[in-house]
Amino acid sequence: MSDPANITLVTMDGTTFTVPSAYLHRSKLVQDWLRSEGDKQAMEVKHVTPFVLQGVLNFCEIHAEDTSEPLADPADPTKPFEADPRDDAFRGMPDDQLLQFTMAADILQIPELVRLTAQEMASRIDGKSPDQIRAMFNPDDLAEEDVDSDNEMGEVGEEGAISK
Amino acid sequence: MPRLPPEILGHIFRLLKEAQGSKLDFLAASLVCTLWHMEAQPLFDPVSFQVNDLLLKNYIGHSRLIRRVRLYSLLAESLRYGLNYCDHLKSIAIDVTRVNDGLRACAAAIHQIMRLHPPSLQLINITYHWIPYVPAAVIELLDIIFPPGEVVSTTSLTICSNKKMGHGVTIQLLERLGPTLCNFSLSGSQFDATLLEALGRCRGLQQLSVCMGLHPGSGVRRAPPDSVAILAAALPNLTTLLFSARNFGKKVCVSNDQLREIVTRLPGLKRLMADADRTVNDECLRFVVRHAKKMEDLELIGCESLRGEGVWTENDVGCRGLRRLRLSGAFGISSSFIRLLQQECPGLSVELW
Repeated sequence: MSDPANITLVTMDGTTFTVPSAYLHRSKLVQDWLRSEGDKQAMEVKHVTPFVLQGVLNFCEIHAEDTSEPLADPADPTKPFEADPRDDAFRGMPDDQLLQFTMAADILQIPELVRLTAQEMASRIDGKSPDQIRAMFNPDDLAEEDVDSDNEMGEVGEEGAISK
Repeated sequence: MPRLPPEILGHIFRLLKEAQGSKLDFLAASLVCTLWHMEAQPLFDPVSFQVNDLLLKNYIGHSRLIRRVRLYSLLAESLRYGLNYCDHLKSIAIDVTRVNDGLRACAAAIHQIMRLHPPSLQLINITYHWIPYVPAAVIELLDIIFPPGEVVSTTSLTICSNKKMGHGVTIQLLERLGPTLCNFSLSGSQFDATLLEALGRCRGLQQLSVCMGLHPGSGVRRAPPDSVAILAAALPNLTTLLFSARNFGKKVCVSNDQLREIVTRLPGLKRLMADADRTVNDECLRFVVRHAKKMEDLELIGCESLRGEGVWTENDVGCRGLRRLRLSGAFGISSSFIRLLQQECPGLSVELW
């Protein structure tokens, strides 16, 4: 039986992080796990590297005592995004790291972090061409059906070609 | 690098849509790849990017010009992917007095669109203002939009000038676009031999309008007096011929023989407007009305030699589809002729002035 005050997370390579459960009160995945499988020793967080999980836990620690209402929808237009200086680390990180943190936020279901990273990605798209956005976020590994539909169009476009 | 899940992309697109001034960012992101495009579609408002005219003008601020360049580049990219964002594009409007890097970039973006032949974009509209004008500047931009040797699909060209300028540009454009041109409208330029020859090479022309001609500058060759008939002979597909221009200060008028030749050479002519000289008489008008069987709209200016002579019969009216007849100076025209026409051509409107 694990300590209910703390939770241990295990990353893809077996690295463990033990943090106060309260840090992760905004993570729907963790809360669901605690309710259903909280008697287990540790929660596996597959697909997340230690570096990224450390960053996510830092975010959770910084915001652990925030009293704002949990964000139901990360892109809720009725709740304007306000930059928080405590999150500056996310704004300065390279594109590939930002992408990994976005994915981790999505996996752990932390709407506030999803919003922060999605907002940062949106702001980095500002003024960019599709080519530049492709270079930033590398979405060029097309699924097979995409390639097929490109061929049907008789035109294989540049990376990430759009089928109509 | 991992691939973004659809729900995250959905968040990003919603944030882009909500952000002020991010319309173009939204469009750019929607063109990144198939997955991104699919996620953008539910939020996409095609009206936001519905562009009817590609504008090349330098009366706007630099930041607006930059946004315009970006929009045109994105539209070109959408066209490359077979998307229908350019379906409303109808024309290129050019109104410049000088060239700068912003306009060159704008012209290059328009070229990116033009080389992909958007289906509805058929008209080029060029306007000259009173501001000092540099032909070389416009020609430089046109060279960017229509690089020499590249196939052009434009079918309509309108050039409007307030002053005696733009002649060189007109000639260049006719040389460049001539093979595909179907409609050409020229207002306010001089009419000389060079222009006549350039027009004569636009063999596919179906509609030609030349009006408000001005005095040519020095050093140009006069067009011959039978210019309109020469055009009719050179352009057999004309269905509309509107001609009211000046050649060295004199109106380019059609004579009796020339008017007959025009009607004979252009059996498909539906609309004719021309200045007539004093040789155009009742017999000539009878010939036109009898032989121009497709004519729907006929306007002759300066018909001072119509005297109401001769007797008209039903057999004289070949143009049963005539809907509008305007004759200026025809004060002596026979009232029986008018009655006969109105009887044989239902719905005909006649204006004598």
